Amino acid sequence: MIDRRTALKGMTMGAGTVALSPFLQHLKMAHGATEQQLPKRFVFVVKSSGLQAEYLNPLGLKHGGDKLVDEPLSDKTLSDSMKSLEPFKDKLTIIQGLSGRMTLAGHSAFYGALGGYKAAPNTPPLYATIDGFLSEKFPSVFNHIGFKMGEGSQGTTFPSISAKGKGQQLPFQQNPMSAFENLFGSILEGGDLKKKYMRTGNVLDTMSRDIVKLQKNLPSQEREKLGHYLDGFEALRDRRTKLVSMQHVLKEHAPEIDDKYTSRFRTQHLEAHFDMASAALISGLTNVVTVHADGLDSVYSGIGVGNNVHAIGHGAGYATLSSQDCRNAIRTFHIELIASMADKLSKVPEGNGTMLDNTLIVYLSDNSANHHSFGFEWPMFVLGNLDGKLNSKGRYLAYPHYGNGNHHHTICNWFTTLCHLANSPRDLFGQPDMALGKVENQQGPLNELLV
Amino acid sequence: MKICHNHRSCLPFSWRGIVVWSAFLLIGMCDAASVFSDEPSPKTLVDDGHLEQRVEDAFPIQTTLFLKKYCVKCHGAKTQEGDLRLDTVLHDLTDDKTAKLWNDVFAQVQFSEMPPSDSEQQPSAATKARFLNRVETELMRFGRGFDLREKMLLPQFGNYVDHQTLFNGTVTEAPYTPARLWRQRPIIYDAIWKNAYGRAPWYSIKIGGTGSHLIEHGPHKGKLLAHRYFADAKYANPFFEFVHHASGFTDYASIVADQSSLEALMVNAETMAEILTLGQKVRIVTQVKNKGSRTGNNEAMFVGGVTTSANEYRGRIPVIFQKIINTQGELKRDDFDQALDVVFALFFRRPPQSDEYEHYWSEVFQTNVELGNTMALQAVLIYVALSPEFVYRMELGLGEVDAHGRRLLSSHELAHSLNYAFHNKPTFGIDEIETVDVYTKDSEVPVKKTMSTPSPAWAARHSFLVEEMKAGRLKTKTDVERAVRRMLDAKQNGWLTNHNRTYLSTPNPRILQFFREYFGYYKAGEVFKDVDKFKDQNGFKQFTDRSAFQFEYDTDSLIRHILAEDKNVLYELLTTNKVIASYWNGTNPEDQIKQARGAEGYRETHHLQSYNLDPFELAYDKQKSDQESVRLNGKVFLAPKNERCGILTQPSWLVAHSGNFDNDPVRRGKWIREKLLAGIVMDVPITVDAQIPDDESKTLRERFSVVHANDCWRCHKKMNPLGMPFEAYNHVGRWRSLEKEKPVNTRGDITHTGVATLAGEVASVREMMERLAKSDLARQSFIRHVFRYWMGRNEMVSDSQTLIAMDKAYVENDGSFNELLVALLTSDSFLYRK
Repeated sequence: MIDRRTALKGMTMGAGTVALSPFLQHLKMAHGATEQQLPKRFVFVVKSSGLQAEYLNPLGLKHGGDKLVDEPLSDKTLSDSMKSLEPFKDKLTIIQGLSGRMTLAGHSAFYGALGGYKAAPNTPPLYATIDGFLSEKFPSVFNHIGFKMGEGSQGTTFPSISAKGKGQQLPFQQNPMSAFENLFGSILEGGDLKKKYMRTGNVLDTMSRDIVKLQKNLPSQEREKLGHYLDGFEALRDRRTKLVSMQHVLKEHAPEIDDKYTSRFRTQHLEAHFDMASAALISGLTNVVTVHADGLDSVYSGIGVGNNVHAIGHGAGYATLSSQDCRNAIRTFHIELIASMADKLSKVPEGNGTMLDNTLIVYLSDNSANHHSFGFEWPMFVLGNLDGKLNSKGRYLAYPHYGNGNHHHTICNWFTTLCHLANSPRDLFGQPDMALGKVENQQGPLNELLV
Repeated sequence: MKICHNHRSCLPFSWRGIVVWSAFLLIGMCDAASVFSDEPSPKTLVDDGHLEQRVEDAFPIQTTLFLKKYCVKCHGAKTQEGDLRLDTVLHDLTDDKTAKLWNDVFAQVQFSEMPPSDSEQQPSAATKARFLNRVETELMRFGRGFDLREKMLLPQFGNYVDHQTLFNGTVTEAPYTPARLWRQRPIIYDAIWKNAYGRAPWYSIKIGGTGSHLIEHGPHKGKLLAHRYFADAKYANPFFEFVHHASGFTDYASIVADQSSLEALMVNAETMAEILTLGQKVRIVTQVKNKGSRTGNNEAMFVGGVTTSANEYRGRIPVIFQKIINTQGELKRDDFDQALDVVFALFFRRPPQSDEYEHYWSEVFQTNVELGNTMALQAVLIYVALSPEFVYRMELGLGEVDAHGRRLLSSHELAHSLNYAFHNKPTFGIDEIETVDVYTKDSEVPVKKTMSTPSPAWAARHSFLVEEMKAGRLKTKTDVERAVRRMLDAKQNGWLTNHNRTYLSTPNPRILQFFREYFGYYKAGEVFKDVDKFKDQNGFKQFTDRSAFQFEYDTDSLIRHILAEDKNVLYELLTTNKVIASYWNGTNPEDQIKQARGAEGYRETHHLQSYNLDPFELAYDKQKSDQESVRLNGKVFLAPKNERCGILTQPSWLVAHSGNFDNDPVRRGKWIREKLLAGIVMDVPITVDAQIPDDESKTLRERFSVVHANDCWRCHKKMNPLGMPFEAYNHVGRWRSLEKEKPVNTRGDITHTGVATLAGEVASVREMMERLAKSDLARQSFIRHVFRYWMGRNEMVSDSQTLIAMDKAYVENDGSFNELLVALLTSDSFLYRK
């Protein structure tokens, strides 16, 4: 538990009081802020190779074919891979039967998985994806933070999953060490990471000074043009100032740099990513996180699955494990990481409850339900209910199957629901599915999930 | 050649005299305010015949008079058209609603929507300008407005400059372009960045399976080795490609770089700094096959065996960088200066000026030197890749000043401007830099070959304009004309385009790009169509997933064909009945006929059916043709004249301007209004729910009758009558004679142009397009867009002489597009800055 008083005291005494850090704000809110003022947080955990629908079904519940199934989870036993979520069952919503045929699924729908439109990996995104959109609605020191489990050599990568607008793909942190440097670099002491952090800081300082000098001598219109660019430097410097001002709270919450950060096992990198994601949310560095948990070439050696995700998807096993065993192990691992994140958030008080009450964690795949996918169903679960705004106190909701007359529920309706929860209602986030008939019938949020 | 600090004179040409970025400082010192500022002084607020008032009083008093005279008759106590009442309007702009209302009033008056053209009371131009000035000043005072000057720079406001004034010859002002910064074109950033710093390589090595190399050393000696190197581009282009629907032009000087640009630049710059100091990190995945394991096409298919992965560096880094990295302790200033030469050559593509050596040394390098020499060098590299000079190209006018106070572009600026007019590549290349290979390992031969780098990835040639500049042949208008003509003479190698030969690989890609952006047909692929349903629908069976993309290349090719002839270009573009099918070579292969279940199935699903043409009737042997052009490009077909009439009847254009399930006469009409009639259509008012009712039994034209309601018609009258003739086509661009079993109604009307000879109903697309294509207004409207695209800005009244000269060059040379371009690129608007 954080000792808020100490934290607050530390903040006010620190040099960083010049910039009211988001954390400070959020502490203020914790002390009697109104509900509207509390930040909303969104976490998307996106796996590759499909999320198999049947493995999310609690014991005794299954998809209803052409009928809507709407059951409480309270008296149900969660599936094996979801056992770790038992403590959060009253905040869990399992959603089955949404379709995503407007995307180009196959091996991956890329931006489509969170954007609801046709997308390819090597072309710029056409529109914002839901995480990018929400990140602009709930800005913080970092509007959006992305993590991607990779081979660790690259600092930053662009997995073609998230975008904040047309042509604006969002970067994902890959190498845990450099991610740590970017997020918590202000508290580093010694070593190359600290140096890199200082180097970039120096460049920003010098450059913004030089731009101001240059600007003074420009024609007025061009001065404004350069002003926009200068604003960018100011914003980045401001971010760094905030980070420095948050040193105390960052030190408090930043994960320990341990072997995970430099491990040769990529699974440990993913653990480090989740640790950093939780810390970033708790310390107020960001309100929106996307974890692209793996890629087709990822190997989960750290949990005893020595084959890569693509091969497993094609039916290969590993050692004594069958392909399905491997898939189960990977899913269980992801869900355990989600559970540990939820656990951390649930221990931080906020408003009349905890941080988890103002957070939604969505788990889904970038390729709907299978390794090779056509987007007919897009299984997912959602942990958290935004203080009851998401109409679920533990609920299993399975919409009628695609192709059935009653089916007009798409992932875009789910994204639209999120927009409504974010107080930015709209007709439809993403593209309609032309094969489902009239566009008007596909609009709006999933009403069952709104209070 | 290696860049050598001590012998800078050994550079291939003298940079002396090229004043660069820092020249802004000098110009600024002259008198920036008097040269550039045209902001109204506070005095003008009151100094126009009215009694002096306090600022806050001036607004209600002065605007009330105008409203009373021109607006209140229809928006007053008795009648409130559009539910709007202006005699009781409030003036407190801190109120959201009031501010919004005044913004609307401003727009309506500014765009001459109000008072309506048929109203008896019309304000004079001066009165209108005064009123607008008042409103705008007040809006700006409360931070509620949009600076008019800034607004007029946006592409969607291009037509607001009065057409008559531009072409009637009354303006005698000498044309110029304001000195400006122009954000780097995204595609040019790609050209500099992608190969050298934008790739994320990985290298797959397979041992023990099949392969062409027998391993000579180590534990796997005697096994076969197979390998494959991948280097996908993985970086974000920092420059947002801004395409406004009203203009379609992607590269405008008014576009800015902002924080999101900076964040992407920053990520890229940090990666680049490491690549140039340490090398490019390559992930090497080695898979050793054992008994029972199987390999597939890619890393992910490997099952069993042992996989190891390691990171190695490859690439070449400049020798002088290596020297700095290896220097322990204090660095010699001379080494730094040499390194800065290289940094500048790589990114600014010019040598540093004397004061820049000092600036980079003391402000950038020294500030970071406590972090070590490598970090400090990286800081210099990052600084350069974030600097305004890298982000913005400048057009200041660093040449001679003339009698009108205008400054000619310098040779250096001219080289840039002319190169960017035609190409999407950097103007300046990189002279040879002495480098060293970072990969020194003695690995197996094929691995060593892959991992070593014979020439650096940044290698780039100078454009021919640089040679001209170096030889001192890029100084005068005559020089420019010679260079432009030489570029226009580039060998074309036929007109055909396809996915392997897109507009980007044509000799002067920016020319075809203009037509793509002007007509907007290349967006056909972005319109979702329910292709699955088309399989059983007559008139739609030929439309597949690939059709829209093929249409795009058909139209690209047709335009290049018309440009190759370079005669009456606009008339041809608007009226030709020629058809090019870029993906058909004239044959009808048996296996494809079989696959389509016979000749009929093949015929009705054939691409030519999109043009209502028959592949069997038009079959020909491309290779055996006696015409060279046919062997090279394929045949150009002629469709019946009543069926195809210019680019606007190409399926590409029709689909790009259609909805998901229907035609879109509104957007089509809007296109003609804005692009051919230099007209203005206001954006859809927020209150309008732009929907037409569904009714299966009615034609689209009948369903559209709802917009004839008064409120809608005020805007729609400017669009629908121009768009309705295109009902002659279904929504995937196939010509039809019947709609809902009735003869299709293709009537339309040309209205509100102010040109008597243009006005009047039309019975068909051809009648409309013929009339438009022969008109001065359409030609001049086209010329205005040519101007806008190549100048990267909207016309100003002072550009009148340039536009008239362009028009004259085009008309006197039988509609030659080349001559039109020469006239623009040698005009004062292009050459002078002020």
